[in-house]
Amino acid sequence: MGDHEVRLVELDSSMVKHLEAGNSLMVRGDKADMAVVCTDDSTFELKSTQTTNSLLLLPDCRAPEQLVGGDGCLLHKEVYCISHLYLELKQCRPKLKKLQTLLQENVFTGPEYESDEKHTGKKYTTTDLLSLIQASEKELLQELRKLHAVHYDGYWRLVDFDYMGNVLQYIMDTVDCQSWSYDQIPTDKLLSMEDNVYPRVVLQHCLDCYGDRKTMELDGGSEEVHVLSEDKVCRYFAEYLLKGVGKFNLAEFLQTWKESVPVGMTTDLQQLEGVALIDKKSHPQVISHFPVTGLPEDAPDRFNRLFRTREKWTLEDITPYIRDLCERKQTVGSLLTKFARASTLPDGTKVYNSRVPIK
Amino acid sequence: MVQFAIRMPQTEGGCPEWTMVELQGELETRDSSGLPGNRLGDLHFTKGGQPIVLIGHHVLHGKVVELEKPFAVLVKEKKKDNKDDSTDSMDTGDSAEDSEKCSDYLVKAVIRNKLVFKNRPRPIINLPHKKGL
Repeated sequence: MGDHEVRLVELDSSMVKHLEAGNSLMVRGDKADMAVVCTDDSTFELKSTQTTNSLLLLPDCRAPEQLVGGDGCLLHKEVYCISHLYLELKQCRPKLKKLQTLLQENVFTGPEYESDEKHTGKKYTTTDLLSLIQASEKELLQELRKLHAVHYDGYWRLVDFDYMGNVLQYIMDTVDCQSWSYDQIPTDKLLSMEDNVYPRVVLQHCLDCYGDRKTMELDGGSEEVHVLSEDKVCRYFAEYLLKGVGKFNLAEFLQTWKESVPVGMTTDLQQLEGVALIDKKSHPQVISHFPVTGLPEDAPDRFNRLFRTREKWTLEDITPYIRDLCERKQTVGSLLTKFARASTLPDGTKVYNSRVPIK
Repeated sequence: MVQFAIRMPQTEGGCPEWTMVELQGELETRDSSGLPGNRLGDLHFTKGGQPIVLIGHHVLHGKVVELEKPFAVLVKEKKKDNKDDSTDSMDTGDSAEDSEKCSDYLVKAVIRNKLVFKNRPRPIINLPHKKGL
């Protein structure tokens, strides 16, 4: 009977294969939180489980099949140790809220302002972020893309909203000037123009945020182009109008919005899912900026905030604001069952309100 | 935040495979001398591959179970400078302010099967000499 200190961890077969190939699993723990284990693309909660059973670990124990037909001699085996504890892994959503807080320390407003007093905050590389955020690399990069963060000079930076608008406007003006089409912006031609007012990295980033890459087959070879996304561009203009305004008269907003987007693009309220809330009950109807990225990451806190903002929600209205909370195999429906209470209004509409007192 | 890796040392022959014996309750020594260094008992397999454990005056019958999810046996990697790393990074509640690098954990072995003994131990009064056991 031996007595060594070990930890037993339950892994799934793909993790074992991952380790056998020479890769590592990263364990990341925050002061207040549970630790998580990250593979390249997923995050798992690490839970300690106690059992009343005794688990005796036997090194190099041969399976019964291997002993059949043996000479029946006695093998001396030493039990490595006994354990009553093991660690279980449960896949979970990565904890990414902290990322916004970190990146807000030094928001990018253009290369000419990098050395001013507003830009002395800390900047983070991918490696820095991985050591501070409880997420796998793939999930981290996905979130950075979602936040429209630019990889500038080796550091990840949030881009100032107004600055991004200026870059976008510049791109659209250039396209108009050159008589190109929004559906077929020749990427390299645009980026290589001599008198570009913005750095190449920034222009590329803006094209990727508001457009999609496409390879066009033309005579003489293929060309990389960007197709500006009507939805993403219109959404930008809507946010531009709504930010910092509070409530906007819906009818006036719709008109102003329509007039502000580039010629040829059509606005649609569906583009503002998860970005703006419409109050249909007020007279006149109003719309306000309400981005899902500004809401708490923890499910109970998120629901509390939503119900604090509005007492009753329809499924259609609340879905864009809770969709990202779904763990693996969880649906919006099961989230609502857990955190909300359904009821029916006099007019027959099904609505959801809070299960618990609102804080 | 605390960060460290779980790694499997790449050795010839691959990672050792161990097994695990699961017993209900606890093992104790009669004279409370502690278990380490003591002889535990005998493990036998029947011709049918069924495990039998003999501990003291008791016999337990069990079965071989393939684990749905394999277990990894982890040991802390010794730091090169042999600093006594008394904080166990697997526990929560570390007081690290910034990102701190702790010892990595190495996979000493993988366990894919266990020998489970769920039945009550039966005292051995006399062992019948059964053929074919």
